[in-house]
Parts: sequence; C-alpha cells; structure tokens
Amino acid sequence: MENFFQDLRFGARLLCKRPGFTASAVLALALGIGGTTAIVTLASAVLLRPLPYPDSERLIAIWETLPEMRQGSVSDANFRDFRDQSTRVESMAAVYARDLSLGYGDEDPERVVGGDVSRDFFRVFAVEPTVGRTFSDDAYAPGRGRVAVLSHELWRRRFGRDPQVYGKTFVLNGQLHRVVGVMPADYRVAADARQQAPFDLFRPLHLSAEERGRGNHMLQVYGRLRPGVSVEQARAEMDTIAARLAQQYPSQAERGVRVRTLKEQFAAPLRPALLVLLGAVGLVLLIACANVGGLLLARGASRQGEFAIRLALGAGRRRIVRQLLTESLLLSLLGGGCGVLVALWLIDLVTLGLAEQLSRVIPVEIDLGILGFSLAVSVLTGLVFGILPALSASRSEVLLGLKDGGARATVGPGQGRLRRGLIVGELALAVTLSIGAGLMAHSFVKLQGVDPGFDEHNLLTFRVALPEDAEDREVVAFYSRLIDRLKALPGAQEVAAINHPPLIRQNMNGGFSIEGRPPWGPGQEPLTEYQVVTRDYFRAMKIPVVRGRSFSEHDRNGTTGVVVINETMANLYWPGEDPIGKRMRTGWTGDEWKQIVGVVADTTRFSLDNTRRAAETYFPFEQAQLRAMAVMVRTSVEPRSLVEAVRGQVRGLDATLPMYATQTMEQVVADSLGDRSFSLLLLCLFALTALVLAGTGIYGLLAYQVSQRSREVGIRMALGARVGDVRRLFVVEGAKLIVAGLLVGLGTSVVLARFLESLLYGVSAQDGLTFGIVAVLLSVIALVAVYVPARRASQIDPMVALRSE
Amino acid sequence: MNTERIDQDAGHPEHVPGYVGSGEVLMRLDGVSKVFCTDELETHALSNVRLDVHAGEFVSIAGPSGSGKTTLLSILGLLDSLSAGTYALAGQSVSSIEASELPRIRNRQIGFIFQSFNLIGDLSVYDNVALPLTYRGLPAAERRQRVEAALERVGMSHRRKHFPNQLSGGQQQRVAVARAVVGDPPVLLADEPTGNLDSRNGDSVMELLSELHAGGATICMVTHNPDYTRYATRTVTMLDGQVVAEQAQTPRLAQ
Ligand SMILES: Nc1ncnc2c1ncn2[C@@H]1O[C@H](COP(=O)(O)OP(=O)(O)O)[C@@H](O)[C@H]1O
Ligand SMILES: [Mg+2]
Repeated sequence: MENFFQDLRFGARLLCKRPGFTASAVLALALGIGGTTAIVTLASAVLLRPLPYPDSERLIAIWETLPEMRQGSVSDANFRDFRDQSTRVESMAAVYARDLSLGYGDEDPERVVGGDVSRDFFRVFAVEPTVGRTFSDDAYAPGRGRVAVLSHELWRRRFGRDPQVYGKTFVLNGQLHRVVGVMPADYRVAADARQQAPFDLFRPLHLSAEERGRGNHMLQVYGRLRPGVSVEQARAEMDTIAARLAQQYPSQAERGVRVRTLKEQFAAPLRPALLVLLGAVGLVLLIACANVGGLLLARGASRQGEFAIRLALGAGRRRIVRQLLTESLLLSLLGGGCGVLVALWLIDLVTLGLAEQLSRVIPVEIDLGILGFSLAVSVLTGLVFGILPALSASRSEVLLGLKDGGARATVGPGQGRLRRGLIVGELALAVTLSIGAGLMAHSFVKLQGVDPGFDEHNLLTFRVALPEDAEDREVVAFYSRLIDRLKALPGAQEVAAINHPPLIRQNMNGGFSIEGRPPWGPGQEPLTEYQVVTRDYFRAMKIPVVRGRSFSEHDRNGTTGVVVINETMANLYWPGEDPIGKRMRTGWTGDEWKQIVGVVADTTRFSLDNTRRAAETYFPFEQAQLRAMAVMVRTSVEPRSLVEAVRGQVRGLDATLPMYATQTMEQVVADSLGDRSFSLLLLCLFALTALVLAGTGIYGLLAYQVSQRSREVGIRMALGARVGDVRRLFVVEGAKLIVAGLLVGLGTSVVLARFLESLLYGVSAQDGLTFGIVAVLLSVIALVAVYVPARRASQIDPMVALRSE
Repeated sequence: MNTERIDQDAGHPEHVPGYVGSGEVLMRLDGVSKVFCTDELETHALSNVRLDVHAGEFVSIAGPSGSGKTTLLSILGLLDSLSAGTYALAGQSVSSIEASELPRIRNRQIGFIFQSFNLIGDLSVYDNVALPLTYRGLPAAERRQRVEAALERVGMSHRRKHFPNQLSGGQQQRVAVARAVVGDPPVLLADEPTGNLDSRNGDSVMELLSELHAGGATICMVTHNPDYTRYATRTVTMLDGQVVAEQAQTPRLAQ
C-alpha cells in the first residue's frame, strides 16, 4: 500500500512535469470515453431501458394494416372485436387523439392534445393518478358531465401544480370540464405513432354512431398481455382474429393486424441512427485508445534510461510494471473524469436535438450504472495501454542491459512495428468514420436539392380550429374573412388554407370511384389523399397547374362539385387519357359526382427523403368545409415578422380561437429532415473528433519516432546525408504508413458502409466521390502530420551522433 | 623519447621529426575556439587551438574527459561550427563553404568511426555500409562492388545480411570501419573506436586502422589506451580545451 501511494505520488509528479503529454492523453481519453458514455446512455435509454410502467414489457400497441400501409389506426368496431375475442391480451384500450382548444379568462387560448380514452385505458398501463382518480364507469354513460384527467405537464403549466385541483373547472373547446385527476410526470403516452407529442389531458371516449363504423379508422389501441404470454403468441392470436374479420366483412378483406411491443414501437424509428452513432462512437473510442496507447508507448520508451537505472538498483520487473500501471490508472481516471463532463454535455446536446422524439417521452439522465461503465472503460484503457509499453519497456531494458556494456545499435525493430501498427490503425479508423459521415453528408446535400413541389421560402403557416359544432356557413364565412384580413396585412402577398399542408405528417384519405368504370372489388378500392383547399392555394404555394384550371370563385356551395387532382393520380387512373372533365366520387363527399377540372404538379407529402408519391384529390373549401385548417401566408418579408400581426387578426375575429402550430414552411421542410440532420451533425462531430485525434496521434507517434531516431539522423548526416535526404527518409516512411492506413480504412468502409444504407438518400454506400474526397482529405492531414516531424528531423544537430554516451 | 612542448606563440613546427606523411597540410586549425552557451553557462570546449594534420598522418589524441577531444573531432569533421579562428580543409577555408555543400564534403572527404559504433538498427550490415555511397548517388553496381570490397577488407562479408543487434561489439565496430572507408575518404576520424570493446576486439580494430593508414589514409583518433597510441605517427594531448603537448613518433606498423 505504501508502495502504491509512492507510485501514485511519483505518477502525479510525472504528469505535472509533462503537461503537453498529460493534456493530450486526457483530452483523447475524455473525448473517447465521454462520447461512448453519452451515446451508450442514450442508446440504453431508448433501446434497452424499460418504459416507466409496471411490467412494461407486457405492453403492446395494436395497429391495422393494408398491403400498402404497414401501420394504421384501428376502427372502433374492429377494436371491440379485437378486445372481446382475444384471450391472450389481458386488457385492451383505445385512445382517440383530438386537437382541443384550452382557454379561460382573458388568457390566450392554448392548443392542447387531448386523448379521449376508452374504459380500462389507465389500467392497461397500470399507472395510478397522483392526484384524484381516473374515470369511473359512470363517466362513460351518455349525457354525463364533462370530466378530464390532466397530464403532469399541463397541471404544472396551467394549474401551477395546485394540489386542490380536483373538482376545479376549466374551458375546453368552449365547454366547461371538471378536473378529476392528474397523472404522474413520467406517464407520457404519446398521441401519435411516431411518439412525438404526449397527451396533455384525457377525457372519456364518446363516439357518435358514425364514428363507431368499421370503416372509420381513428383509434390507437394499446393492450397488456396476460402474464406468461409472449408477443409472438399474441400476434398469432390477433392474426387469427383479423383473418376472421376479413372473411366476415368485405371492407376488411385486405386488412391485417400489427402487434408490436410498446418499447419496440418507441425505439424502432430511432434505432438505425442510434446504432450508427454507437458504431461511430465505438470507432472514436478505439482511435482515442490508440492515441493514448501511442503516447504511453512513446513515453514508456523514452523513459528506458530511468527504468534501466531502477532495474540496476534492484527493482523487480513486476515492481516497474506496477508503477507504470499506477501511472496509467491515474491518467485514465483523469481522462474518465473529464469524459463524464464531455458526456453530460453531449447528452444535453443530443436530448435537445432529439427533443421531439426523446425527452418528452423518455427523460434521459446520466445514470450511475453508465457512469460506472464509463469509468470501467477508462480504467481498462489505462490498464491495457499501461501494460503494453510497460512490458516492452521492461523487456527491452533487460536486453539492452546485456548488450556490450550498454552500447546500443539504436532502437530495435519490435517497438517500431507496434508504433507503425498504431499509426495505420488510427488512420484506418479515422478514414472509416469520415466516410460514414461523408456518405451521410452527401445524402444530406442531395436532399437539400430535392424540390418539395412548392416554394417553401417566405411562407408562414399556422392552424386554427373552429368548434366542431360550428355551422358550415359560419366556417366558410370565418375563413374567407380571415383570409381577406390577412391579405390586407402589409407584407402579405397571398393567403390560402388547406387541411393538412405537405410535410406535416398528418393526412386524411379514403377511397373513390370513377364514373363509367366498374367498381373496384371489395378491399381493392384504392386510396386518395383528401385535400381541402381555399381558392388561391396553388397560387400561394406556387404549385403549377399542369392541365385545366385551378379553383375559382364559382366553385362554391350550390354550384357543380369539382375537384383538382395531382399528376400521380392522373397518371395512375387516367394513363394516356385526359382526366379533365371526367367525374369521380369519394367516400368522404358521398354520392355526388365531382368533376375533375384541373391537374396540378405533385408535392412531397411525407418528407424530403421519402420519394413515395400519393394520389391526391383537392376539394374546394366552400364545397367541403372542415373546421380545422392550416392557413398559409405567402409574404414579401421575413415570414416570422408577420406572426404578431397575424395573431392580432385572428384574435380580432374570434378571441377564443387559439392560433397554433405557427411555423415557417422552411422550418417544416428542415424539420422533415430533423432526425437526419441531427444524426448527421453528431456523426460529423465524431468524425471531426476522429480527425483531430488521428492527426495528433499520428503526429505524436512520428514526432516521437523522430526524437528516438535523432541519433540515427546524426549518423546519417555525418555520413553525408543532406537535409532533403533526411526529410525524405521520414516522409517516405510516413507515406507508406499513410497508404497502408488509407487502404485498410477504405476496405473497412466498403464493408461497414452497408450498415448505413438505410440512412442514405440518393447516394450509394460505395459512393466514389465521398470515398475520393475522404481519401484526399485524410492524406493531406496525415501528410502534414508526417511532414512536420520530418522537417524537424532534418534540423537535428548531427553532433548527437557523437555525443550520445 | 622525444617530447617537445609546443609554445602557442612560437608558430607551428613545419617539421616534426619522424612523422610519416606526404608533408602537405590537409587540415589546418588556427586559433580555433568553441564556446557552448547553455542557459547561463558558457563552456569553453576549445580555446585557441592550433593544429595541422598532414596528409598521411596518423594522429592520436589523448586527454582527460571533458578536455575537448570530441569537440575537436566534430570540428575537423565539419559537424560543428567554430566560435572563433579558422579551419582550412585541403587548403580551403571551411567558413567560405556553403552550408548546403557540407554534406557532400563530409561524404567524400571524411569517414567517421564512433565509440558506440552507431550502426542503424533497422538496416542490414550491407545497407549500413552502402549508406555513404547511396548519399553520394553512386550507381547500384558500383555500390555493390565497393561495399563487398569494404566488407571483405574488414572480414565481415559473411555477415552482410545480418542486423547490427545480431553482431558482437567487435563485429559491429568492423562494420562501422567498413562504412567509414567504403567511400575512400582521405580522412578518417575515430572517437574512441575501441572504447566499448574488449582488448582482443580492440586489437583487431586497431590493426585495421593501421592497415588503412599504411594504405595512405590520414587518421585522427581519440584514444586513452597507451597501447593503441603506438600505432600513431603523432600524439596530441589536450587539457581544458587546449592542445598542451604534441609528440611525433615512429609508429608501430601493422602486422
Ligand atoms: N553541446 C554541448 N553543449 C554544452 N556543452 C558542451 C556540448 N558539447 C560539449 N560540451 C562541453 O564541452 C566540453 C568538451 O567536451 P568534449 O569535447 O565532449 O570532451 P571530451 O570528448 O574530451 O570528453 C565539456 O566540458 C562538455 O561538457
Ligand atoms: Mg568525447
């Protein structure tokens, strides 16, 4: 023990004496360990850690499927059949997400996401409210008073955590509701399949007869498996039930069912990016280890004299190894400590970036287990790279000690090989990581060039929703007045409205039939997206009208029903034909035939990297009113600068109406690449770290090599070597290592890039341009790292050859 | 014994009786000083040294440790610059030579032999010996022929593929001698060439040097060993950076 403290003290003194070495080693360790800790923490939170519900592994989500749709909402009738016929699912409940307007007193109304939940909903999750209770069976009886259970977040935000909130009333969509309970903070069931927005509050589910129909798919269904039942078993049972329904009801013919664990559902969209980041950070850790290994190796070797003396003074080899280990331990603990800081910072950054998907659903905090893991990694790194140079140092000392009274023929080849291996390895790892980042970046550049089909610049969007019970006439009048008022604002050029703008990830669709054609067979009915737009929508969005006309003021209630379709729809159903003047009928608008008056260009519906195009049908607003619409304002000025003026106009028309989802369409377009741009940012961050680490690592190893070989350089100069000869000697040796590192790295990349394929867009995993650029970039960096020490070598005083005794 | 105290001011003796040489001055140091400045310390490694080495001479340099012997050799070998004084090599003042020319002159005029052999560990015996010729830019065929000859001369041909750490100290020093003479330099500078060798190996290296001397080489050698001093035509004794004694003698010839 006394020895240990002695070693510790000596080690600490040594670290202080060589601040350059200490700083670079600690930095490399901190970056490697911090990065790993952060990403492992996130990955385990997302992929491994159970959701915060009792026996959460038994929770499942149930979706309906169609051949072209992997996951869709469930109709109430189907939900009841699923629930009543299943024996393997203990409890099953449904939720219907609604946008609601919460307002009281003089405050601005606020848009909230309400979940209308069926009986048993909270029992499925097995979560009790922290205040009050959930819904009694009474609450589901028709005509009962309106009640609500608040989310913790809403309770905090609008009720100031009032513990006496039970029984208090508030206004929701113009109706008085009474609070009966508050859910705990970590109860964050999300309102959509992408798990983006958690529910703000819950109400008992009341559906109209029409909404209960088998064809009305609007529910999210959750279930809890019976103990001992596997997901596979539940899946098999649900498949059987779905098959039975498909036989029983023609409308269900093509429908299937999809059962996923809640965990899987949450983690799936994040998994590819997280796994890639995990791989990337693993590479960074390896580079950092190689870097520190090189540093320790160099230092261990440059201390051979010290070890020789210690050996001569009777220190055992084991004693020397132990001393080196203590020093390495000290170093890695320092690095690990700084690594924790790096990790905390990175986790902050990542949760901020993934806030939409992560933090609001699962809180991520660095936990003690991961902290332990990070320290273990750092200590292990220290041990491994402490032992390597320690072994080689103590071995070489013994050999040198035997050789001709201390004379030496410069350094032997053994250590040189290890060093060269480290250089090649570091470079190869950096190449691999940079190619990964490069491929992602190239995809991103490609995506920036994708035309969304409309002009997203200078375009402001926001939503308003009139109450469900508003009259059609009122609705039309409201929106036309709103649009007129907004158009009159200075800076506004065009104003229009649509139910679901492109790239918002919300849609409304249904079947249709074409006049004069035989009806589609049951279940074969194709879908078209239902888009309700005001007159100037295409002009405001700058969507070109390809054929026919756009809507006019004559397309109103009472005139001929008309629609405009998009090119995909025209090509799919009227190939080689002119659809103008043809008539179609949709499930939504009932029996009336609608005449096609125009064809417009396609827009990107889902996200820029989703090239799928949907058949779309546009209805004129005055012939197909909806209560909730997105208003689009084309501006001649910076769109954000109009927000307050717009809000004033909305309030002027109806002070109780919340204006929500206010954003620029540029932002919407960028957000549709949100996860992608964020993982790209992280990957680039890691690649940059790798470049810095590899660059300094290679430089350090070569600079060390030069100092080790200064005597050799002196000899060569005494024999007549010129400055250029010496420089060339080191540059050529370095260049060989660079070529080897590049080749290994490029080869590894070819193999590993395949794992990136699902994240790439418009770029092959073997993209020559990316490979080329990375190869050139890294060659340049590596050559600089080689040239600087080589230059220094050529400035060595040849006298060292004579004066090395 | 014929000892002569050299008076610094008395001019250089043009003829020291008994030396073997052609008589023409190959290296002439005049008033040479060398001062090393480290931090606050100034070390006068050489002070006002005057020394002529004639072609064909075998000069043995002795003196206590720190007296400036190595510094003297390094200046003779163009590895270091002077603080004061002049040095003329083959009649040409060294200070007038471009720095970029120095490597070429070192390569052609001077062969070095070090106490610690200073072979390059990563290169084979053959490649070590070939190094000066490589720097001279000789074609491969001529290089091979000359390297073989040099190795033959020191009796190391059979080890040409070995690496330095596979050889004994004596063998390493013979290779170092081969490397020093492979380019046929007129001058050989040897700093304690036998310092790390046992007496048997030391003897054989001295025999080699003596042979080279007999073959016409001019040699300056630092040694402490009185036995080996006898191979020289002249002994120079240094103390505190100054030449304090010179003595010409009849060398013991190589057997
Ligand atoms: N590079 C140097 N920097 C400072 N002092 C030096 C340097 N080289 C030699 N010296 C000093 O010059 C003096 C002569 O050294 P040296 O020529 O090596 O002596 P010798 O070879 O006779 O033992 C010594 O005092 C030594 O410490
Ligand atoms: Mg010396």
